[in-house]
Amino acid sequence: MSKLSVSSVRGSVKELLEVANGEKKRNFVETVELQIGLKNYDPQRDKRFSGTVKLPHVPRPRMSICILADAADIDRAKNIELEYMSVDDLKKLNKNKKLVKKLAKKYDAFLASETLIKQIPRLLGPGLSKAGKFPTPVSHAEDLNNKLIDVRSTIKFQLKKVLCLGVAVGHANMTEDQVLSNVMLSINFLVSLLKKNWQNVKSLHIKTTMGKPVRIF
Amino acid sequence: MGRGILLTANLPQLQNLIKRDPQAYKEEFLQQWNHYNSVRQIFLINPTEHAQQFRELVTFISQVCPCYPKDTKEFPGQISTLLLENYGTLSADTRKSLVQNLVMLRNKDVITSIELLKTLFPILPRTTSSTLRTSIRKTILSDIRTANATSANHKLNRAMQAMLFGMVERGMDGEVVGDKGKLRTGAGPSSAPGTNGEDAMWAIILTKELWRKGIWTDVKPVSIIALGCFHPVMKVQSAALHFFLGSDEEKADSDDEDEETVDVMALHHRREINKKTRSGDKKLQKQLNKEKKKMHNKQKQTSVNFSAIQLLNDPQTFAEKLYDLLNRYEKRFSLDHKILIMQLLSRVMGAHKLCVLGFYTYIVKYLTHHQLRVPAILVALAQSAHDLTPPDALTPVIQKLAHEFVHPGVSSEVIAAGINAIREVCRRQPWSMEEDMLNDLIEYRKSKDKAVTAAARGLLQLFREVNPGMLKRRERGKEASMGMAAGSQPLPFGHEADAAVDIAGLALLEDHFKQLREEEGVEMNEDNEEDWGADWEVDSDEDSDSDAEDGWIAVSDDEKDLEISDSDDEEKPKNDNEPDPEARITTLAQEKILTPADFALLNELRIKAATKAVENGGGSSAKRKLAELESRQKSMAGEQEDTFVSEMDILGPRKKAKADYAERMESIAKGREGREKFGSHKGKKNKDAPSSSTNREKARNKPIMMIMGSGAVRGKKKASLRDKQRKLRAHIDKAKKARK
Repeated sequence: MSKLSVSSVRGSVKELLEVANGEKKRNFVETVELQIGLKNYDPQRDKRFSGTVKLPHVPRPRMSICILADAADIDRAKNIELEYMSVDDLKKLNKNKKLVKKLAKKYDAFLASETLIKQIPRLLGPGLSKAGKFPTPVSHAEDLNNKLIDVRSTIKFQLKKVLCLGVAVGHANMTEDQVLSNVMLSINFLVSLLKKNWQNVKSLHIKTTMGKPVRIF
Repeated sequence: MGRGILLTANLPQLQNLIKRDPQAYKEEFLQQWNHYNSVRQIFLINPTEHAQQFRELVTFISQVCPCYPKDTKEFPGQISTLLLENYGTLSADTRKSLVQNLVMLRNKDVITSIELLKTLFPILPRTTSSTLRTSIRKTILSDIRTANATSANHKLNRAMQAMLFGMVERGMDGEVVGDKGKLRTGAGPSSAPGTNGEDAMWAIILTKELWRKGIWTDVKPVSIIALGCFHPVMKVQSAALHFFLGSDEEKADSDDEDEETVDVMALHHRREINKKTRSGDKKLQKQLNKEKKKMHNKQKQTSVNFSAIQLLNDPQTFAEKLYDLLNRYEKRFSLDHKILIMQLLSRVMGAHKLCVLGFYTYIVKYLTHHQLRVPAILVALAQSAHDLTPPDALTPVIQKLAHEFVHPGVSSEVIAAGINAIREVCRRQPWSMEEDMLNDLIEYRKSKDKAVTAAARGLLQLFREVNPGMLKRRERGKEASMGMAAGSQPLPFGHEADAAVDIAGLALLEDHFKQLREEEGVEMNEDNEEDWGADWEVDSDEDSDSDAEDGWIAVSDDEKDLEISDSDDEEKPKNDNEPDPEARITTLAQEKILTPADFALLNELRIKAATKAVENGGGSSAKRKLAELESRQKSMAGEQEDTFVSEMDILGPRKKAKADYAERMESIAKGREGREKFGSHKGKKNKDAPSSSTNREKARNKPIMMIMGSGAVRGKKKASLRDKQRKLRAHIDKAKKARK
């Protein structure tokens, strides 16, 4: 595979979605994932890259989010039926590792009121950051709904321990165009992060949660 | 009959015969085999008796073992149990020959390397002879290396790693002894040899070596050594800590056995001088190929290797345990060891963004300017901070630093170190600084000492970038004031920079494309697939302007794209007025896959834009941005990730101190090295045996004024005419004679 063209990506996406929505329809909405293999990359010498990018279409609408809220934010959370935890709830966990772990497992991501964010490490201990779910701060001025969409549509490229990574870029109920533009933006963004751009990319695959991987590069 | 007697006595001869025809000599072999068994029984009871005979028999049997695999099935097992169980009672010679024979069995493929290594590993720590130990160690390493040569031998590796892990784990429940004061001398001889952690030490040494050679590169060896960090024996602990700190990596590379690199130039040269034969050519080619392959392999080997700290399993628990160790054995460890632990702890915290809040209260008591090795402690403090460290944990530390290091009562080096340490902490967590203190510290930039001035300026510069709001108005500088006026705010704690919506500078690329499209007309839209080829071949660092022009392909063929390009055209006049195209969001990245040529072009456009910004008086940050972009283009090779602080960063530039007497004498002696002795060389220079100058030489060089008054010269002038004539005559005669 030496090059990648829009039409071939489009073809792969189409094929993928056809299988996911047609013959192999599952009882849940499958997620479309982009998997990347790297090459010529020396993790000791090269700068570790990590980057977040906001996709144009929300790839994970069903992502469960909880807000660690102060009084004002509790009211706002109630209005939009967002799950929340107050400071007292957090204090009840009492830094108990198991309880914090359970909390971290229960949700995919966390928000926290700006006033609270500084206390989080003291209230909860290292549990949340250990799970990679350190809360995103939200100020009173920001609209909670927009923030939720932001969080749900932001993906993070981060290299850990192995030279490959995967990100969720869409789901099976999206249209082909939506998946395509998400895939393209994430590929372009990832490649722009790499020092030697395309020379660092070994392979690109897309797959649905339970489907077969399709190689696109 | 006579021959039979000969055979039993002469084992090497029998061995030779057996190897030629195993079946014919089976009888004789079985006889020896029975003999071996009975000698072994006796030997087990009394190891000194028959030792010589036993060694010979073992050597003989292991030589011919492959010929009778069925009969000698239990032979390797017997040897290894003998080694493992009776190691203490065996004599040195017997040990050596047993080990050698076992290695030979492995070489003849009678036993697997797992079996061999399972025997060798446990006896390695118990061996007292250093030659045997080095040979065992070499055998182990080379065996594992050859097993992993082509592809990783997971089965072997897993078995070995489990064994090494066990060796480290066995000693874990011992009591930590420590190495401070009296304990330093008391620890060694008093404790029993088994509990001294030799097993664990060897396990760590071997794992380190295998890691360093790139044979084991995954998580397992790291977890073995991570366990070793908490071993009760100090030596093991410090070896494990050094591994993570990477301090013994430099010197280690030299003792690799593949250092016999071929000098390619010399080979070519020799080829020109020596006789030209075809076989010589072939040999040369072969050597060159080999060398090339070796180079290639070496490059590949180093390519995938995360640093050990990155591969730690569950870093948070690891860090907490390290802190616990540090805190609990505060009184028992020596300062050097404690600093070692602090260094590792801080690096782990920095690399994984961990919070071990106890560390900051712990370290406060070491932050005094008269503390020994305080620069190393300051380095540890600075490394441990990161953007998720709670500022309220760091603020007291910074206050203590400021009170202890930065006041007029201490020397300027101390002040510089203090301010530099504060700066390094604040670079990682700017919110740990308080406004009043910052302004006080910045005042030190008017100091007379260079190091202090540089440190204070560094701090000022840092805060101009990250949080100018904390500075006094007149100290903010032009750039920062403009930024504040434009409403840019520092990132509050816990906030990450907003997620990117597109690639930096992509708008520049889009504008560039649009311009091109306008120049060339709009024809080249649809049929673009074949142009991709040219675009993808482009090497990223060549001048890609021309390539981009003819290899440029328009965006894909969906209608959405057309809409967007239309709207862009409408927007165009507005865009021209826009000051910063980098800030605009484009959708280009969603519609086309950027090719290598595009990226090269993008980088160039960004550099152009940055240059323009500098020319328009952008200030130092614009310059820095430009330099960064340029360096990125020039050297695609990576710059070292600077997460680790060095002591030099903390100490800052130091004035050269006046040399003391010893240093002066040393430098004088150095100057004299290889120099000839001063003085006259008269008469000594071009002679075989040195001697002083002759009288004749002296007379020849005598100054004329001293000669003029002498009788010899004056007498010549006063001589009578007759005498003069006689002299002349004599001279002429002499000359004539000489001519003949």
